[in-house]
Amino acid sequence: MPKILIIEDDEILSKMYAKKFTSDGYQVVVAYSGGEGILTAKKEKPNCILLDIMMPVVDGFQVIRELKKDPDVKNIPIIILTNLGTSEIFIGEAKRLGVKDYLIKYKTSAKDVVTAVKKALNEK
Amino acid sequence: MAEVVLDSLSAISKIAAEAKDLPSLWEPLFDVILRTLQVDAGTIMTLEDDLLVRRVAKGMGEEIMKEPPIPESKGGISWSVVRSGKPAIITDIAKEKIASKVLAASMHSLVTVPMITRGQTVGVMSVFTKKQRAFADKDIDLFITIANQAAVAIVSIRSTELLEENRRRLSELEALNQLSKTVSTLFDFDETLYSIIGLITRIFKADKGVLLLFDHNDRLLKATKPAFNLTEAQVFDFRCRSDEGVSGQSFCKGIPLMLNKIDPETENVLSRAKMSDIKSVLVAPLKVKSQTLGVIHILSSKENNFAQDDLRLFSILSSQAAVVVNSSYMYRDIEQERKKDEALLSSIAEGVLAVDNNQKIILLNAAGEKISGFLQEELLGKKVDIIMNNNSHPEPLGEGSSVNAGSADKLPDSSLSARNDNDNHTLLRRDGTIFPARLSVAPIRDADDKGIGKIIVFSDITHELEVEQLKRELISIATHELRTPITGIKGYLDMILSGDTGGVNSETKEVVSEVTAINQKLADLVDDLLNVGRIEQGRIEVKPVAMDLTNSITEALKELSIQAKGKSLEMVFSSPQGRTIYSSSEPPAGGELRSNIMVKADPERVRQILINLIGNAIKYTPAGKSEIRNQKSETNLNSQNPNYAGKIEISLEQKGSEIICHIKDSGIGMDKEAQKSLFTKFYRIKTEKTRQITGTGLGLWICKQIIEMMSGKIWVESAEGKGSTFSFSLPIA
Repeated sequence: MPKILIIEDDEILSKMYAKKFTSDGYQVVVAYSGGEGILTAKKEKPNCILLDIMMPVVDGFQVIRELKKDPDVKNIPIIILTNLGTSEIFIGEAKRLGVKDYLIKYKTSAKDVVTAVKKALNEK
Repeated sequence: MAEVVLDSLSAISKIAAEAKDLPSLWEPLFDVILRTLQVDAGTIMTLEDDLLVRRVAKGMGEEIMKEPPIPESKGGISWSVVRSGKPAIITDIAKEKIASKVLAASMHSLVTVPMITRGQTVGVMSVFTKKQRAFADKDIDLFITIANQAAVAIVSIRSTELLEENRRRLSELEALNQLSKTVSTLFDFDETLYSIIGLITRIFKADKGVLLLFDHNDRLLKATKPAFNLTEAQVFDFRCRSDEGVSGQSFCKGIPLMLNKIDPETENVLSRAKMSDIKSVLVAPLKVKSQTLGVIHILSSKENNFAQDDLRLFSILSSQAAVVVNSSYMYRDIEQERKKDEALLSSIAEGVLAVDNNQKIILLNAAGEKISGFLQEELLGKKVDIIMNNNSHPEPLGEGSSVNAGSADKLPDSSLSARNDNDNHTLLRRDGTIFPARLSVAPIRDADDKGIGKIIVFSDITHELEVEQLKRELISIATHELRTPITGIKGYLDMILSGDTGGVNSETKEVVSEVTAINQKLADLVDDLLNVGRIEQGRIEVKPVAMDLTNSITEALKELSIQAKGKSLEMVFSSPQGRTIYSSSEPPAGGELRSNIMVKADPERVRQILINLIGNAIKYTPAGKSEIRNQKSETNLNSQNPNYAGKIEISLEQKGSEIICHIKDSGIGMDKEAQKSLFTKFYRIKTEKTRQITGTGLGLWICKQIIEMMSGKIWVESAEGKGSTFSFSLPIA
């Protein structure tokens, strides 16, 4: 049973994604901030991380940079799930940091998020 | 003797010819009479209307001249001579009835002869002797001849006097004319009127002059300043009904009147104004065109001050006065109008700046002074550039708004539409700082519709822009924040529908599907609003690249194929050559039908536009046959044509350096009015047919903005009930 870490400061969405993944048979861990996310990732060592970008104090990009420094977690596939839009600055930065996918929350159904995670896990 | 007579006659003719007035005639004439007739005294009386007036006398003392004129009723020798036209010879005055007491006392004999010329008696000439004397017939004959010679001279003197008088009045009239001509350049009308009234008063040797103007409110004639020789109180109290006394008569009848004796009614009017000393009046209406403004009075404390022929001249002079009164009225009106304008200009909150055709400033109102920090005085006559910020605008404004770049030269010329509004301007303050301004420029035209300058209404919109910015940010944040809950709702609904939460019955499934659709509409609205916000704030990114338009269209059609199928609408896409590239009714022919048409555009934005336009075509085209049973409300639309099948055709056309994409539907279409407003924000066609079609009214506005950002254009051709064709152009890559 793959373990998914959802790092998302918005409770509505983190709960909703958690519910979806749980019902689809995944084990879900949730972190409500960037800082908490880094700690949880290191502690839980999930199979895949769903990561929001716009978060106060420590944003998603900082989380990635932090995780890439740790050999224990640097290979965990990361999927960005944001509402930041399709600005190439962000997509470019995300690619540079080696994320698996860049999903726009409001354009992607929960089902498709699961599909993307599935795909990332298979590629691994 | 005959020689003496001849000498006398030639002397008299010479005297008569040279005489300029009566005394200069009489003096030498009497000398001749004295020599030839051997008398002691002589006198001339002339006939004035029904009076015999003694004009000159010699040899009978000063007292005689103080005797009053003799009326016909009093009779006497002189009057009997006038009446009979024959000489009277009296040897003993004491025995006769003689009018003059002086003569009765001092003289003994007399001869009185009529002075006749051209059959008209102008007076009588008399000679007297202190001692009794009889006159010979030849003496009488000579005297008659002398008298008639004198008559000719008197008539000639009189006409000279008359001529002189006319000349005098004529010159006065000329002066008055001159005066009224200069009225238009005179600033002080009261002063002008005063001098005119004074002048008229003096011409007729009267004491007072005053205008009575008709007051329409209480229908009274009221004295008005300036008045000549009237006290304030008299001016205030001198008023009457419009039919009262001589003033009222003149006003009502519109004719000049002369009153040499005051009638009781006029007396009453005058006494109210404490002017009972007035004994004669000249009054004339003040007429301008068909309107009578009032009357002008010339008043005299002497009885019989005015002669009949004064009336005509007075009437002429009054009409001059009327012109001045009227001009003064008009001037007051204009002045009032000007003051109103001034008050208006200074009271409005917007700055008002007026320039002439040479772009020189001719006006800056109080608000303009406050906004700009300039004073009107320091701007008058200066070029408008002093306040227009010359290097304000980074990019030229769109066509039609030539109020541009703040440059004076670019103010709209008079040929442009009457008004021109624009927000995108900056103006200069006196301290050199720049402020954003909203301008409204309108040409000023004279009576002949010739442009004589421009009026610029401006306001400082610094604060407005700040508020606007804040508002946009707020909307942007709010709509962005809305996305999270919408995404959440969507996620949960999807879970229910896909059975993640356990099985759902078909009824529940239908209800949840409805909620999902509503949620999607909410998501679309938020999307549109965010797009509007981005476009308005210039935050939207458009990155044109060479891209294949046919591919984008095909993709969009595939994306929308479920919706089209849901309404049984056929969608066909054909190439510029008419070849079918995609058809929803037939499976694509074997192999990929590639017909690369490359345009320079942003693929994501093109997709957005295509989804929007084709989506609209689907929305506004009634469902095809197979759906009729399920879409009750749309049945009516198709009932006329049982073979109706909705169709959406997409075609491409190359025109010059552009590719034009046409999206033609067989939908409800729209009228010309709707077409005009179609691409404006929040516009939606509201008819019975569109009531149930949902939309934000933002889609086409967004499309237009984005297409224009990619150097394209968008337009529509449509007629009500006949479908619409939306077209947009993009540059060829």
